Amino acid sequence: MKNKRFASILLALAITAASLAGCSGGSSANSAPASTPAAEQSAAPSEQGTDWSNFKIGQITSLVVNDGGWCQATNQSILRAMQSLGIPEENLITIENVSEEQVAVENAYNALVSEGVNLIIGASSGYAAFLSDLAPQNPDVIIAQQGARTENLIGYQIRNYEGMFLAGYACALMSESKTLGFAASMSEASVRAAINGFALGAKYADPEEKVQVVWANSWYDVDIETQSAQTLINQGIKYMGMEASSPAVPQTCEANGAYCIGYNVDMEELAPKAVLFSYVWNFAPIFEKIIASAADGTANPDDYYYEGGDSSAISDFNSELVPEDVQKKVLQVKEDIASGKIKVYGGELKDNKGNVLVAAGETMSDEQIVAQEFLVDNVIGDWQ
Amino acid sequence: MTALITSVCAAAIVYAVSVLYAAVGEIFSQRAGIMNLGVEGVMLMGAVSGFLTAYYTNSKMLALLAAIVTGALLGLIYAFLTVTLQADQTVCGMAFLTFGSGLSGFIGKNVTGIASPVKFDKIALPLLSQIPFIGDVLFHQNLLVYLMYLIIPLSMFYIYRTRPGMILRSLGENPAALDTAGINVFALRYAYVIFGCSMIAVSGVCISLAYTNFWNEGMTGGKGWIAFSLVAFSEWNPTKAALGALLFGGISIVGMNMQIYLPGVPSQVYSALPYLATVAAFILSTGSFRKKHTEEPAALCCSYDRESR
Amino acid sequence: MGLANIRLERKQVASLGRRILNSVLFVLLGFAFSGIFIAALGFNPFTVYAKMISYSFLNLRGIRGSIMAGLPLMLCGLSVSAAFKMNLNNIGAEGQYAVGALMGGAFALYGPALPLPLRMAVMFLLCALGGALWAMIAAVLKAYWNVNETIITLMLNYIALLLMDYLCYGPWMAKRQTTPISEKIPQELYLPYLGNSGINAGIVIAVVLAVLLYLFFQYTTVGFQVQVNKYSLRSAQYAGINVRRNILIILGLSGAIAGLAGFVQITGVVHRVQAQLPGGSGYTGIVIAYLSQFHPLAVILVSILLGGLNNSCSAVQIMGVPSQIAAMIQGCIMIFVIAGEFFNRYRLVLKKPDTTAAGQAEAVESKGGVGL
Repeated sequence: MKNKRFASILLALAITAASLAGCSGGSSANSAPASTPAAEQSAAPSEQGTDWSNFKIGQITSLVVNDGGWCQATNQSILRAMQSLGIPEENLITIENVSEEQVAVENAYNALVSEGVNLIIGASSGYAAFLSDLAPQNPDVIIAQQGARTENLIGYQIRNYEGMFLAGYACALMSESKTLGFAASMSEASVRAAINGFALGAKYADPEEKVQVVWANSWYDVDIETQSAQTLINQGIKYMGMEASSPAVPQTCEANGAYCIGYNVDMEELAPKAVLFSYVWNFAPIFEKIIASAADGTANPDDYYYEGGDSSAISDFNSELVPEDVQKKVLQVKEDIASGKIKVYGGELKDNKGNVLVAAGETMSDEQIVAQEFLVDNVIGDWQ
Repeated sequence: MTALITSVCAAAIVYAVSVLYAAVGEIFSQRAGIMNLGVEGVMLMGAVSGFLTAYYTNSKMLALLAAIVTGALLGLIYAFLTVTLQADQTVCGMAFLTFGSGLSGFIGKNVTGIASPVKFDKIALPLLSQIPFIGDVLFHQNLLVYLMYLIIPLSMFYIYRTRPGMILRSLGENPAALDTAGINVFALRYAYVIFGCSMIAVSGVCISLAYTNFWNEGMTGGKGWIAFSLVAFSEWNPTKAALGALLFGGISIVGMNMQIYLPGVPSQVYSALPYLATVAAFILSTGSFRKKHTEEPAALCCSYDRESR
Repeated sequence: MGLANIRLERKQVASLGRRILNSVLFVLLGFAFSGIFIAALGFNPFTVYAKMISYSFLNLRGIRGSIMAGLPLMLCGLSVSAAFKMNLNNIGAEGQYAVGALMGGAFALYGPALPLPLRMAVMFLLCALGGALWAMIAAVLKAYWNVNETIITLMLNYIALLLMDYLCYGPWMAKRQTTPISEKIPQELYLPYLGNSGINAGIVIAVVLAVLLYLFFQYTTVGFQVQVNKYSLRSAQYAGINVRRNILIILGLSGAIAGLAGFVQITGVVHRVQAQLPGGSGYTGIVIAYLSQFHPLAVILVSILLGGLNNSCSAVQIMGVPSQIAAMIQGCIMIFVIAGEFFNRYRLVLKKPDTTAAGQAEAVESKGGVGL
């Protein structure tokens, strides 16, 4: 029991820290109105009379919800969304460690349905195919699924390339060499979007900047992620982005005097001398909308939320490491993306095999971005 | 280029040490005639108990001690099953694998994803770390690595040059003869199994408190199996096990570098390299085309039963 | 009565009823032991267990779920049991399953559209062949150069899964998909369901294989020879048994069965090829094989029980119990069953302080010992 209480204190601390990070990141960028928690605006008018006590949410995650990575980011986002809507915390039912296979997903789905949940959140893109087949069994239970658009499911995804653009931009501003690194996990579309976003950001800072990518071929492996970072550092690379789940990359950077952008959650605490800031998944604004639509019956399986801005968030800057002027420039770029002045996937855009992806003056469609199969021209490495 | 080589070598050593504790422990256990297939499970229990202790007490030495004690307790159970109850060792190993991975996740659930305040940091040894190249590779490491520098020669000396070492070797070859000579086979096997499991648990600490200062379910990621494979590969010889571990770690890191120097090959090929190399080295070193005699303890996996002597 | 008065006595082979009773008793002890850990985290073990059992076994949906979850485990369990009949430790069911799935999957996705029964049969054979080929690598090395099969089959698991990753993340990945999963296989290759039970015909394949395997070991010459091999390699050689050939047959067979796990999962459940498809079934198969004492028919039953155990952790997570509970309970049960196995061979006898050897034997006769 003691452990549980302890864990809940920690969780509460983490949530406060994360929401503080979200707020302060926005407050310095004074013109971005959406950065004050969208919760307060949406919660106030429409949800006033709603009785949330019977609204239950179930989430299915692939690892434990305090994994220090992806699942933790999702879990905290749901809790934040619930908090701002006024849904009691105990209405969230979690089934974790569900592997991405049919039998396990069906079992988790059944367990949640029998608990009477109104909304199921599938927090790993690998569940899409299976949940899509299961959804018609209980049309009353709304399912929101992370990843690409899928039949029968409300889809949600974050424009991670926006936050990654900022990451690459910051690294390029600070790096003296013309090569940045990127420690990537597995070659999935969202990971490629992260690499490309990072590379395009770097290019925006300096057209000469290149990004060397190395693949771990694993979603979580402390050893291999250490080796990825080490390999990049051996190339003389001092600044790198990452799309890896363990703190191995930041810690290896710290041990070798290199720097990186944390990923998933704010990683500053894990390697205070290496993490400039972190790319943080903030699903809370999306979840608020989905929960609200599920509650008032307007949810439709065709809904698709593909959001950037505050969802594709960055944490507070590590002020010890990131100079003031860089901070300002990064926040300016964040604004420019929000206002549409910078189009991350705007033309002309070529891949690193020389093919033109987007002609000058055009912008890539969301469909193409979500399922992208290329690496942009300043990335060194293959995606297959 | 030298910087690259230095760093690859240093990283290979860190990798090697994290599996070597387990491999050396398993060598002692198998030399005594008891095989433990559940290395991975014991390693995870070591990792989680060490992490929990470090997290709550802020002391890495206590963490190390906690892992050793956890390992010893598991070893005691393992010895009870395999020595006293004479159970099948493959089965017991699998049971420990399942039990260890399940229980470690179960008790470590609440500290997942949180950093521990202490870890085994790299310490540069005075003078020695000044030697060019060698200093950077060998003497700019963490405490657990330095301990391993002592453990390898000591265990070699113990196994091959001392009287208890000789008894240990016959324990796995011909326990009946020892029994006749008035040596307590059961007690000795208990001792070595407990020692072995403690060492395996220290390997877990290498991962949760030296590689990073983090705990996550199943974070050993198959290292236990690698350690287990090293034992037979090394012909139950700690020095050879060290070489094998360096080889595996080195190839894995070189493979990562190959992604940069030799692009165009699917990166999965490089990821598979260490396993392919292990298979090749294992065949070459243990295949019977090479020699007639193997070092494998003759009584490995055989329970000793006084009545059927 | 001190400890010195308790004595172990070797029993003759325990009767089947005794053995079953013994196993059940120690399984219960295993549950009791896991209960300590559950209680330590602040939950009531009885409520937890009651919830687990009622979720997985006391309703139709639960039973169906347990059988479906147990299906790939059955085939992996059978695969491991077959190899162990000859004392071969095949811990490579995971990799053999993957390669079987890849060979069969390649045919289903890209192969010619043969007429139906033939198409299904070819896929079936290819899955079996894939598994068998992967196991054959270890078998040949074992048979000809006496290379330890445990380590080779283990290493081959990693390699097979990386191959699967390469294909599913790369050339085979479905268009407009973001996850490592192929297009659906043609609908005519879907395994039919048994009536409206929601259970696919894969279970028939598993049961038939189990029966065939049982008959094979019981009634064929090779099956018999294999069991002689198990007890003594040397006496097998003296008896003129071709050990080398038997290793190839048995490991090949073991691999083929594991490969068929790929067949039932692809055609019966997933309808696609997916990275990490085996998901640890190969390793759980080892646990199942041992828990069922390598008896093919027991494998079927134990697989369903373990499938249900795995499923039920979803139900207890809702109460807040960590999801790793299933693996922990499995481990505890295994340790206790192993310990209990001892009492199939021995019994504890309370010795009276001063009895002659004859009197002692009588005492044992009359009291029957404290046999478990």
